[in-house]
Amino acid sequence: MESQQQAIEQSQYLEESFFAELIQSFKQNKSALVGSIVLVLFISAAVLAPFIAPYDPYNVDMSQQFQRPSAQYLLGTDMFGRDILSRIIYGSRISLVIGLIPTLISMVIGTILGLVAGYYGKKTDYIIMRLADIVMAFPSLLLAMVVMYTLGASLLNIFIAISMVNWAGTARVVRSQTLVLKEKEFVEAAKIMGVKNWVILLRHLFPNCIPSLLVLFTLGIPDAIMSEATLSFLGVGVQPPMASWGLMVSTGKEFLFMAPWVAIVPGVAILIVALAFNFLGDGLRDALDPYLKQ
Amino acid sequence: MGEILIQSKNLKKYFVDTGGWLSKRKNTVKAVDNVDLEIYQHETLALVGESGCGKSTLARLLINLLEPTDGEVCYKGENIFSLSAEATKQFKKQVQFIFQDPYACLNPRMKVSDIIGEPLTTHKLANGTSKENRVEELMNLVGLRKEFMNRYPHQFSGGQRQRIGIARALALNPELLICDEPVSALDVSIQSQILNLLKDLQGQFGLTYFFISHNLSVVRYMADRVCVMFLGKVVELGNCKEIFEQPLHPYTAFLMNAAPIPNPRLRNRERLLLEGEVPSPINPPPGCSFHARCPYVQEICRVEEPKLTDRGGRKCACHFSLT
Amino acid sequence: MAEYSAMIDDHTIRGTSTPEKDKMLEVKGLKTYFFTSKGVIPAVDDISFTVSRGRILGVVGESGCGKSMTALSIMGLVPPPTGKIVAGDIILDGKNIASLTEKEMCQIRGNEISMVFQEPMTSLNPVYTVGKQVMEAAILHQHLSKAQAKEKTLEMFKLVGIPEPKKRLDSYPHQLSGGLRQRVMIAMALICRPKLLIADEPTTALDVTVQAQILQLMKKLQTELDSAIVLITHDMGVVAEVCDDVTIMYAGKIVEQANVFEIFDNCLHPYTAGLLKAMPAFKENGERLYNIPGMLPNLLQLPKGCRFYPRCECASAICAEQEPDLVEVGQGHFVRCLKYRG
Repeated sequence: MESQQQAIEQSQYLEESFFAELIQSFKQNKSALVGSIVLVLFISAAVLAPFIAPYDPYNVDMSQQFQRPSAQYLLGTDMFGRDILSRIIYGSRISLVIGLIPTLISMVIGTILGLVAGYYGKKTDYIIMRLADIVMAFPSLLLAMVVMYTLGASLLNIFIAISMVNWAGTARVVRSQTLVLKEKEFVEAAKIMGVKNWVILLRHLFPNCIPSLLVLFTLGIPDAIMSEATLSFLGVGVQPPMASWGLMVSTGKEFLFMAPWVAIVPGVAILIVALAFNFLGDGLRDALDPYLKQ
Repeated sequence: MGEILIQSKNLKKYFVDTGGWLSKRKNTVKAVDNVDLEIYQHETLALVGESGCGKSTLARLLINLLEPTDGEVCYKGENIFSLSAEATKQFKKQVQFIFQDPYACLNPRMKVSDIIGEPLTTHKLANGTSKENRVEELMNLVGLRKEFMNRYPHQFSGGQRQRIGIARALALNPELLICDEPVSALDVSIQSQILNLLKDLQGQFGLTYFFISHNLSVVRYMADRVCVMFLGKVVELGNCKEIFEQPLHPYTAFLMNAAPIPNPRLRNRERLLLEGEVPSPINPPPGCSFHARCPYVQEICRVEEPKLTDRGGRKCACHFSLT
Repeated sequence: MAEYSAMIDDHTIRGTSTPEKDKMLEVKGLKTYFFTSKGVIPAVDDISFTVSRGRILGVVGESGCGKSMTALSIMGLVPPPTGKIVAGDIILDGKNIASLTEKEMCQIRGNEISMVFQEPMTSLNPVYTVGKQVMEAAILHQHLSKAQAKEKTLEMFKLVGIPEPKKRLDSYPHQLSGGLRQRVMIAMALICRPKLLIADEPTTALDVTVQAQILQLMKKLQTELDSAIVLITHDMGVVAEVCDDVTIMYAGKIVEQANVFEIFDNCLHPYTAGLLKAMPAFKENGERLYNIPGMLPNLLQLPKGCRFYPRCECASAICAEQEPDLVEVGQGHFVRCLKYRG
């Protein structure tokens, strides 16, 4: 009967790993796949900027002003004769940093506040959520601009401005997830065995929020990139001569008819990266959804 | 019968729905209303009743997951709602819970070894290899192979997950296990495996079970004593065999008679079918809560609420009772 | 058992010699497969059965055995795009409905075949009154006027035992209890006097006392209407209460088929025997329950040979190699086990 025993064991355990499912789902989702490829290119451009940029992005050469895109300058030059391709490549560093760091900060703040609000409920919940409502009631751009004007324009202040605006959305999502999760029996089981509240938050609630946080994170990055671009465009963000895509659009707009590529090229870059992150985020959400439902 | 292990005295839990701060509406749901119950050491007390009768609320009160509106629960003579922090910790070690839904009761993002080991780490009883050994021992006890220690819950079937839940409950060597419908989500062939396991464990460790179920054949198989609840109140309490063979309260009689019998030759037996619908627990009728559906109703039933009184070793809350 | 023998007279044992005209539903060699990225799942694998006018067939099995998928196949509701009926005939009152288009099936669904689901709350639309929802079926399929439909609905509500039927017409689903909702569902299913009623675990979500009421109702309806009923359940107790014939399914296949008395008195397949022995009813406290070892097979990795072989206590070496056929061992009693071949 040994073979029978083996047959039992074979039939017993369902072999389905979480990541295998994820990859499987991505294979079927073309736009998520394209998004991930674009992002890999984007990130490697940012990391390898000094090695792949054909020119120095800050090198002013008035003789090369407003060169059309050509074999020499693939994407043309701007009003100071700087190579736009090189500036785009260096600009991707700023966009990446702006995309990642404030989003990360706002996610951390939002997650902590959301978990606490959802789990403890009552007054704690009320205070945190009203605060989030207030933040969300303001037009986010206006709020960010107010912060920038008060604190002055610098990279650090951009982080603060974007984080201050974006945490509220995360807090709401995490809170609603926590409200569902805390009613689950495994949380009850932890309470019964006497697990402390903060351990329940950390070990039981937080890991189950990770899939949605992952989606929020990927969708938050393009938001932050766009905010930075807008702030820079309005002149309160990154200051010249730093190469930021938003700033490049802003400075290029004056020559839109004379040399349209100066403004359009960085605009298209913003568009592509934002779209790629959105595709990836949507793909992740679709892939992770069955697990959320479970 | 052994000593009383846990006892509820005049236990009440009312849920109040105020309907928001603009609403004048105020509904009180008496989920558990004046329940006196004692569970003796090493016995299985089963709690039966229909959905919404307060079974789960009562279970959660006994384990200090919910604060009662009134009354107390005494574990080994001490009220669990007024214990010191240290004593509460000890109490939580001695009373554990087995859940109905084997899918929701395990954290999907924790490994089996962490799930079963969590009570040990929480109470600082073991870590590292000693924890691993204990987890192995527990898995072996409930019939799981120790090779699957590093798997996640979704890789197991319903019955196996229920075994993981049982192993977790046993980790602290509890005295009392509260089982809230532990087999109702399982397939028939798996159900019997889990019931056998629970029986074996009781024999091996001298466990006391408070066993909640709506499946009467499971109750009959598992229980020493049975407690029947209707709309938040205990209507009958007594020896399992006696209650099944000769129910005293009319509601118990209806309940017992309604259970399907797996013998097609008995299908045309005489039947008692309940008329009407279950009254809402929001505004229960005055008098006996069962009077609206009771075929033996008398005038007094509509006015006076019957008390749970002793009837020759059994307790029944009925003015007349079937004899 | 002698004192009950008089009671079973009305359940005279009919074998396979069902007259052709009495056959309401005949399913022949039905195969419903799911084509997923991980492989083909044979959810329903070569199922054949017959239900006659005025009889209740119980389809019994555990989760994943394909019993619900059989019902959905008959209804023409196999979930696309992965699920597909790959073979078989479904003959309803002499007409093969397996090959009908979706449009033609819509004419049949709710009219000639209707279905009652497990969860009465989710199968009713919460924003319409139950009266309106039941009337809709009659208006759609029987082209009745509104007044006629209302009258008919009232009549159905009375038939299924809804108290104060007039008042209930204007109730919303959430205002009714679980038992009443299930009665509404049954009224809705029966309003067009379907030839076939499929009830998928109709009492599983209900309390015991309500379950008893609904089962009695189904039995009463069976004698009053001339429909055939397919009752899908996992509970042998429910089968014993109402079914005339029983089909036991395991991992997509029929393992045993007979009338209800044969199944309970003289079951042959080890799985059926296991299901019956595993029930705690009538077991004295203290006696050990029988259990079927192991668990249901993963349909993606079915064992070679008999699908029940890994869990079977009567298995011999040949069971691992050869897949048994469904053979007739007695009048109308079929079993799929190598012990009974030839």
